[in-house]
Amino acid sequence: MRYGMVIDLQKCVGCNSCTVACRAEQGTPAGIHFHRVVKYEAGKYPNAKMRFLPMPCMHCQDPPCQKVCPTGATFMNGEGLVLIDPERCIGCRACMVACPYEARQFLWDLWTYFEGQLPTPYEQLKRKNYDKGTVVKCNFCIHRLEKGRKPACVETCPALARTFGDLDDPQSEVSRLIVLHRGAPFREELGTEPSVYYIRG
Amino acid sequence: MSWIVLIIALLVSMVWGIMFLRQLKTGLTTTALDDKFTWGLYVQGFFFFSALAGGILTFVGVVTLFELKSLNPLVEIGAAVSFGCLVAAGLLLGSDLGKPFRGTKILSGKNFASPLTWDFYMLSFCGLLIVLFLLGWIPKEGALTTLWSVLCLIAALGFVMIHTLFFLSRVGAGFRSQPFLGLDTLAQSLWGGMALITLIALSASITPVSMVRLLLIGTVLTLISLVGAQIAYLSNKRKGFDQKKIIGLDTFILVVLVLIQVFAPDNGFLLAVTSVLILAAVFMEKSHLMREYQVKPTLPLPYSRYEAAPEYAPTADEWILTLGSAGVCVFLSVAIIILRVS
Repeated sequence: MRYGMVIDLQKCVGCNSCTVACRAEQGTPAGIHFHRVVKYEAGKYPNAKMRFLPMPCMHCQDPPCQKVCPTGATFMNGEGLVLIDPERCIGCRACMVACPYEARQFLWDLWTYFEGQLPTPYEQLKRKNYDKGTVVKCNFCIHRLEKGRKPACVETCPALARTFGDLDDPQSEVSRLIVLHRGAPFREELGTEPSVYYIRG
Repeated sequence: MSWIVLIIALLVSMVWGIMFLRQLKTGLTTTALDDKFTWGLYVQGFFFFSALAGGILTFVGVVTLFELKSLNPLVEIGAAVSFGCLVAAGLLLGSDLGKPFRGTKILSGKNFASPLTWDFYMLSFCGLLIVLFLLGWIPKEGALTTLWSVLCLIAALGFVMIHTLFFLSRVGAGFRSQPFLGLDTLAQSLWGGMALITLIALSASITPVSMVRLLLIGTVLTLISLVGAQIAYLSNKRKGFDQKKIIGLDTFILVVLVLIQVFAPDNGFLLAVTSVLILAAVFMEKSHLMREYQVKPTLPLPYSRYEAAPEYAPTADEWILTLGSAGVCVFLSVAIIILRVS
């Protein structure tokens, strides 16, 4: 079993609803986003286009962040997810230096969304998941996976650009899409073996 | 004189303590670090002090191994200063951690693929070796002394080597690699260590003539690695790896050292000024290395097209904490020397 995601770049319209869904689901403090959509320009005028590259954590199978973590706080579970144990994280940020995808963020502080005001009840509820001085990142919504649901970004995408499933199962939808469209991970040449594949880019 | 230095260093150390407590309370938001520039002055200082500690310990190991008895007073003082530098390096690394009191989890983590794990073990080993020496458990000569000096060389050169591994993952991620990084880091460590030993020798009125020659060799080694890297990057279309200022300073130091050696080998003042310049050059190089691997976005073009290059200028808090660590280094060194003499 290895969880993975396929993102169809032709379907992605750059609406950032995945980013918003992620923030709502994870209840990340202000300034922290486990997911982002990188925008870039392709072609030249008059044929220039704005393109988008949604970027969650790639959950690499040979993750450089795990290799440099001195305490073993970054680990991989049996389903191929790269996770962080916040109790073991010492906040050295070596994993952030190592990650070639900028997927990790450090909790410099637990900022609130309404500056100068107390956290909202929802922020108060979610804030107990975060410990100032540690590193955080996307966990493919593991709490949802445990309940048989898909990650929030996958469920939310209005363009149905995302597919989630088992990469080890050749019959799964993700495997089928990768084969059909010759899907490739981002920066494959680095050899980190990401579990996020892009198609029709 | 020693007591005055000790009291001033104690006051500076107290400032460090206050600033550290403040940072513990407020977190790393007191720094100018961010997600794009994750390691700054603290890690630069850590590399600087640990390089000096490694350089001095190498000197101490070599002198002990060769049984150069005329330099024995320098070994005594050098061990104390090396210990002070190690502690200062440790304090700076601790200051940089989000959760400094969890540092011992590195022991239980046992991730031997991580350079940080090896750094932790090797620095601790260096500290242990120096403590054994300072406690007087290492005899002046004999098999145990030889073993101790060899272990000193392994530990000191070992963590200097580990410091060349820290940015390997960045190089793997498509960042410019520094082809002479290993030699550069080693040379800078020995060079800085020798400069600090020279300053110690001058302050203790011990002036072995060979120090100028040793510094000259250190300067040449350092310059060779820096110029080598610069030549390698002339063929690289991605410019920016510019070490011209550091190379210029190192060349100036080389010229001054040659002049001192030829015309005024006994001029302590000139030698002291040059040693301070060497320490400044070593710090500049550490600072440059840290910036080099962080200023460029990790994502390649065109994906990083709209990303601003991160800018980093240390805050006053960071400077005070770093200088405070230097104060702790001086305090510990002088206190140990006074205790050993008495």
